Amino acid sequence: MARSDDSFRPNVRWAAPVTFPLSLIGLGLSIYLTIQHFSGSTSFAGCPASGKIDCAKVTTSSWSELFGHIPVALAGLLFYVVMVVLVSPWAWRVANIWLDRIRLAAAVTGIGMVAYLVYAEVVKIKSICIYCTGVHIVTFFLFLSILAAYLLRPLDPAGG
Amino acid sequence: MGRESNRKRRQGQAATAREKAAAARAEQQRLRQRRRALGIISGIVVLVLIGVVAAVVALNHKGKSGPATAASATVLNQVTSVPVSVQTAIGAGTAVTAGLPESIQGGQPLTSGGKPTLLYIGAEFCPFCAGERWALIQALSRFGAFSGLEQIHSAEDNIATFTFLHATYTSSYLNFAPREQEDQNAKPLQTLTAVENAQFSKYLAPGEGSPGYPFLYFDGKYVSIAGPVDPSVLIGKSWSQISSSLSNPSSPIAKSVVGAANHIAAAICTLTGDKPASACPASIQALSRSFAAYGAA
Repeated sequence: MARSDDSFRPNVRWAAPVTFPLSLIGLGLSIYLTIQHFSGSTSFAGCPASGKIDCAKVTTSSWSELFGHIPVALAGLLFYVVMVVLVSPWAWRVANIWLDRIRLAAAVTGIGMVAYLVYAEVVKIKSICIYCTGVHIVTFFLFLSILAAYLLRPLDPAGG
Repeated sequence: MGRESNRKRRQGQAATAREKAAAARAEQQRLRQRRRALGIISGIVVLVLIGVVAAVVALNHKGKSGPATAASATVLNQVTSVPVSVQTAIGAGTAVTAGLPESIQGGQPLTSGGKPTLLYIGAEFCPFCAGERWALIQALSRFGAFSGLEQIHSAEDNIATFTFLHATYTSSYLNFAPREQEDQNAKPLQTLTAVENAQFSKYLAPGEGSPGYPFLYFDGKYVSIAGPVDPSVLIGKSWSQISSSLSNPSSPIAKSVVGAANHIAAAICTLTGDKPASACPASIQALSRSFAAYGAA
């Protein structure tokens, strides 16, 4: 007989192969943006300064730091370090409802931050940064994947 | 024996029927689950697509930063007539330490006509420049007079400020060379001379944010990078709200703008030999002694 306890429901099989590479891409982009921030570099490979697209303008703006002190790039890096752990194949093998909820909560936090930063870029700064947008797109698909995995988890241990 | 066999067969048929029913229920549950997931995901995707369209429209919307207009005489009068008693009461104020003038060694003087030159390099979109212009106009008005100042909102953070694009400054004590290097859309606006560009590049690279606006070069003696005014105190305020606050020493705007102006004035006083005396009282001169050496931090 199937156990009714949610804690023992396994996760969908495609979750790790989809989310883990996404989190690694996000981590790579975040590392690059953090290095750019702390090195003070404003030369972004492949990012022209053409008004609407201007990485330096975005990453050196007053919106590039949270609460005036915490670099957004560093916050993004910490987020992806946590996400890489949460969506690793090993973490997906742990069928525990609380881990799933923490993973989903982290993804919701990430997408909320993305909404705030996109607002800052298009409304306040009036320019977008290609690398930041890359992180935003990856975060969006990561959020969708985690949400879908959460909603589509098998209803009993035999399912899949 | 035959009765027993019939009973077992019926039990087997019942069990099979139960399993089929359970399988059908499970399949229905799975279908419901997938429909629900699909509905939620589709809803989110539609919302995001709407958001993307809105973002593209917003990105191409000109907004309030639009064209410059002649600065209000009332506003300018309030900016340039902050009483000395208020300047003294505010002193260092809440000027941002990281943006204060820093002393440099062996800097190239930009002296012209026998007068030292203060070089400003900024951009119209830049919020830190928006904040610094209030302090610059306040400080420079102690040594001379502006004409041709225009009002703008910075494209970034929408801060009420001015542009030096068509402004002229006259003073018996110093020259002021303002360069708005980029416009509201970060397109090139005013060009730097080779000497100006050399100073701008020298003190910003490497390790500093480029383009490093706003940049002040005090005739080879000091540089100020990123400005001493925290623009967040000005966000959401109109020109008249800002200018009318400047003579109130307890106003956060006055503490920030006049505090920054006092530091800028102190650096200018070292260039002019503390002239005129009205602009360089002992309290202002004292501020220059707190300036750090460039690169010491």
